[in-house]
Amino acid sequence: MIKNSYEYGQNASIRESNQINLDLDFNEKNDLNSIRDAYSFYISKELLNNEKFVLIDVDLGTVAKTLHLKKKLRNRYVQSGISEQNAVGVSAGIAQFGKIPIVQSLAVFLTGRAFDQIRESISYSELNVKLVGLHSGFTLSPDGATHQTGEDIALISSLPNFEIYAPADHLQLKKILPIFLNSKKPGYLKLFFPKTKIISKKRVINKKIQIIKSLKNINLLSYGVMSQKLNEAYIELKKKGVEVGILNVPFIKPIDKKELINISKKSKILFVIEDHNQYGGLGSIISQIISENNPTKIVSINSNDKFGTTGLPEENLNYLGLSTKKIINKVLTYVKKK
Amino acid sequence: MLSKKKILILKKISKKVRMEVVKMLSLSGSGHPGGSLSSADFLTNLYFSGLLRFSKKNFKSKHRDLVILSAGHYCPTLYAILAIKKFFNVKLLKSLRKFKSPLLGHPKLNELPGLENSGGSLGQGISIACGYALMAKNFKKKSFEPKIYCIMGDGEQNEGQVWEAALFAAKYKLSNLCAIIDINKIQIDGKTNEIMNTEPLGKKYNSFNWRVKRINGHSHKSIYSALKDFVNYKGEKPTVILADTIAGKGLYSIQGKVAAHGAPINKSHVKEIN
Repeated sequence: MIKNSYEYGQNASIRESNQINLDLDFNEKNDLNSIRDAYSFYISKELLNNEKFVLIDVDLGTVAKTLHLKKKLRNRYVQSGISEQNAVGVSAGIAQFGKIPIVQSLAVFLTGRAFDQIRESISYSELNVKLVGLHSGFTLSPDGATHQTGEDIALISSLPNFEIYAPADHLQLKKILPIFLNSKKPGYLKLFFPKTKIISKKRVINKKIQIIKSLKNINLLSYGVMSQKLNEAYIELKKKGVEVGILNVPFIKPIDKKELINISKKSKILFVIEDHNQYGGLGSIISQIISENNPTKIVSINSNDKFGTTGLPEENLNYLGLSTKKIINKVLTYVKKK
Repeated sequence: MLSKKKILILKKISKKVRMEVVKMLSLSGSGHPGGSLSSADFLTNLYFSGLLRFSKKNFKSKHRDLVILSAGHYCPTLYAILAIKKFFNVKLLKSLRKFKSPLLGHPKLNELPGLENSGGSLGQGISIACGYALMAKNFKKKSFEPKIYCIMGDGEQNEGQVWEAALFAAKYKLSNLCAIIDINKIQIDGKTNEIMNTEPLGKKYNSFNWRVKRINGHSHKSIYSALKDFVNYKGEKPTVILADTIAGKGLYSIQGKVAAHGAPINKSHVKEIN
């Protein structure tokens, strides 16, 4: 069965015998891939391989592209309908029974709508539940700000016991997914909408910050979809004679404090770039850790306490000051000041 | 049917539970006598009538029935019952709400043996019960089929999550699930029918495809017969027992009053129980 899924994956589209056309736009060998389709591909494999996992949908299995699993998983597939609060509560009961539940929904609805349930029924109860936030950040732009998420790291990182994972491309997802699923702690996997290129072939090591381009006086740090922008910014800045280091943080909580302090010691300015709101995101987390250890200047580039708007992903990111061009301009203003 | 002798025994235990609850609340200086005392009879019946397969021995094994206390503020009653059932030393009851006590003001899972959930934010327990009940049904073993009970308050029925879970339980035919709703007719701000009327509650659950039993929540005979009916049920619907009760039952100075919900309890109240 699994072998088949792989074969389907290689063919870039899955047409199941039960007539559900998944149209998985994913090929592991490609540089450019949709992380959502990659998630569907890898999570299917994990779910079919391990009887401990139970999948819970909240009428967004279509978005996660996991509906085809309903028949295969049989009694390990739960459809809770449009009810994030109930789904999270149900997942706590499933965890107590001894299975490992995976709840998936749009990041904003899962972390926002069901926050109190995540807090009491999972985090406080120390139950091993896996939450998957689809289309986080501001790149699900045509749907408007109701469907975008600038708060999920603030919300989930505020909960004791929770881990947060934020892969930047399908290769990272492939490495991170088993770590996320097999951890004994409750976890949140943060995914995003647009297709992305592989940011680096460097190894992903559990709980470690990745150094994509070696450290310089000025270093740019990010996670998820914004890591793509940093690679673009790196090239453009180099053309202008500005060499920067590039860092990627796939493990947001617990964060690699030791490496962060090491980075801060070597940096004159550390830019933290994220598609999250100004307050409570990685910028806040990093500023707090570093300010206790080093006087390094930290500049956060984020949605600056604004909601997104509608339009194309690039238009929305530009509106929020998160386009590659705007990131570069901001970096340059500080380089000039220096 | 319960024998007269058994009814007498249950009444005696109920009284002991009430006594422990009032003693605990008088020592802690805060807590919720209203719901703790209105639920004392049916919770005693559930834990001591012999229907619930739950003891210190089978706790944590898959071969046990589960009681989820969604109305977390009823925990003094549950703590008293667990102490009487020897899950821990009765002396520990004195520490209710005291610094670092495992008897928190609202229960925390794994903090104390015998607890099956964390509860405090209302409406959450019923979903947890649904999740466990669904797995128990989906991975059924002939050797033991657990029954899942969930205790809620009538004010708690205001929460939207309760109704999401009500849909879920009916959809998945969770016939192994029994919700017991303590209808004590008060909540913090006033009478439930004035704050947010949820009646006719039976009709609502009925229309959600649940089996409904409405009983006198202080009659051991009625409570037992409703529980027994659930245990023997072979159909496909989830069951709800609507237990009509009196807030603060047994404490004559507060019983039936809105203030019973969180009334401060002192030593003079302890004498009232007799």
